[in-house]
Amino acid sequence: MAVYDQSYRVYGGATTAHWQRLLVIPRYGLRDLFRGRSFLAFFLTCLTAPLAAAALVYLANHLPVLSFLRIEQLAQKLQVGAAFFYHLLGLQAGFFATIAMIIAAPQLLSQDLYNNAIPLYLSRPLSRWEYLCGKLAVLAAVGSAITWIPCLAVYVLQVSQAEAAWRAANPGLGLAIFVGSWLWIGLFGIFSLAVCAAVKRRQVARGLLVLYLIVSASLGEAINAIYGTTAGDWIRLPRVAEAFWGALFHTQEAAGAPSLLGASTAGAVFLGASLLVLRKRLIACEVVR
Amino acid sequence: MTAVIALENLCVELGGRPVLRDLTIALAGRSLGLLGPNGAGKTTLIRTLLGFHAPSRGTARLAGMDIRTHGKELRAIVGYMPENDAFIAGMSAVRMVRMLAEMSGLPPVAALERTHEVLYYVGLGETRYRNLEGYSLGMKQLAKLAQAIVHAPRVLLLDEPTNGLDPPARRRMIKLIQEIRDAGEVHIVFSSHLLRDVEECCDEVMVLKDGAIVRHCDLAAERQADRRFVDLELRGDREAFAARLQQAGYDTANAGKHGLKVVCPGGLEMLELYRLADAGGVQIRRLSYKRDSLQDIFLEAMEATDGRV
Repeated sequence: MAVYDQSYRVYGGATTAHWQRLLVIPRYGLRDLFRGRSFLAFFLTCLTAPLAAAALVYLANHLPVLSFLRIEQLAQKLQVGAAFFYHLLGLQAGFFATIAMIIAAPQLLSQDLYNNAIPLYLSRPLSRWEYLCGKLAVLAAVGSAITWIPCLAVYVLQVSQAEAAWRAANPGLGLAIFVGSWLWIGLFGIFSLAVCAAVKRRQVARGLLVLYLIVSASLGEAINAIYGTTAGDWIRLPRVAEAFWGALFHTQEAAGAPSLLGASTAGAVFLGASLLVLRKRLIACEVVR
Repeated sequence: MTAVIALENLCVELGGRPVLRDLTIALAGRSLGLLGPNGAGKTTLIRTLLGFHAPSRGTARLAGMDIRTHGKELRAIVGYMPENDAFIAGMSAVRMVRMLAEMSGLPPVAALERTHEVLYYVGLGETRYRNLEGYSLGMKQLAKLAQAIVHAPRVLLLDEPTNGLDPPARRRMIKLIQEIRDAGEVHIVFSSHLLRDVEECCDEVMVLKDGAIVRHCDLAAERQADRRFVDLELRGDREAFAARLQQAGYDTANAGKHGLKVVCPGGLEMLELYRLADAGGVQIRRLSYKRDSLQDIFLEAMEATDGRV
């Protein structure tokens, strides 16, 4: 219809399938997120460590290049193995993906709640859990692009360059990277969305997430020091994740992390509490009691 | 005609407090007005129809679909304009309306085309690329209307659409709703406490009070019947005068302390009225001749304490 013909007209065209409608929120969410130049710059920064890791993997497998560059001594220090990938994942997930989610989650959820947009979404053929999954999918996509995708790319490079003995000695590293990344994305993603749902204001939510990381680290360390346990780590999501990563990578680097049972319990409690908050806050309209 | 909204003993409790009580009605009109004072349950009824509140008892059907079992299918054919300020931040009107259209099932290209159409239609054509945060209240109301109609719903739920609008903006909103109604493809449910808005847009009215239906009225039929009244203010024996009028074939109803309402079936002879008053020793202090308005219907309904339909 021509724009000058201003009359109400019904729509008689085709409609999309339900699963296509579910992709609308992640599609728009991602586009909005990457529309900001600062976030794009940060995202590109996140890829510098995997690039450096790829370079190291290449050098570790091409000793003549090290000789040519006259840095042969690096070959002795450069051991590409479980610890190497554990640290790479720790940097990508524990640092970069965490910051990315702290930036992204409030933009995705707090603004909708603050501006009363939830009824607009939920008056469409969409449940609130589908809405939440849509928002979580944005965090998952960003988190994946920062964590397991580049880390697995580095791993594939190592597998392609390394000898058969290395492949035989490190059979489950790829799976550990994949599962470890998703554990962190799921755990911290849901937790950050719950914080955003609880406080509604974007900047306050970001501040609270950062504050949580700082305060929980200090408090956890204090509890550990005073009581001589590792129970203080249970309130620290990064330490909970480290316990899982340690078990997945079978490396000594995670020594001192809480036990797997304790970490599982703490993770389940965090997840349950976050889902409860989301269930309570993600409603189309508040009931005044 | 199939009922657009069919309520069967619908009860809704919020926070342990009954908000809607035993609503039973079938409404088939093209445009239905939900009238009632603040807190009567108009918004709760609309939200219940959308599935935002679960009924504690009874059920409701919208366009033949049960709200308990067909929530998603129902919301695919419904457009909703919420009462409160509601928008998606950081987006232009085009982007928000397009996104919501896609969520209702329109393919991206069709959604974009429809978005431009409806934004021009509601009068936001020139400002459609501006961020919604910068919109005035009236513009936000129009943007909310645009998102409600972009997917061409079969049922349009409008919750206080003229709230906070200045007279020209209100006039424009009413005109848009009338045009959508007259297009004949959409059933409109119009919730408001402004009688004039409802009268201008609706042909059927349901009056709610304390969560119960106190009056259901077919405005279209009332208009066609063109029932006229004479409002009298009397001094003297009102009851005797009313009895004389009834004997003479007129319907009467008491109004206030000294008032009497006389229904004029075809034509009322004023002389006859004065003659009967004189014969009964009653003084007519004031006389006004008027059509039954929605205001009368509403006030009657509000006065009735247990006059539930």
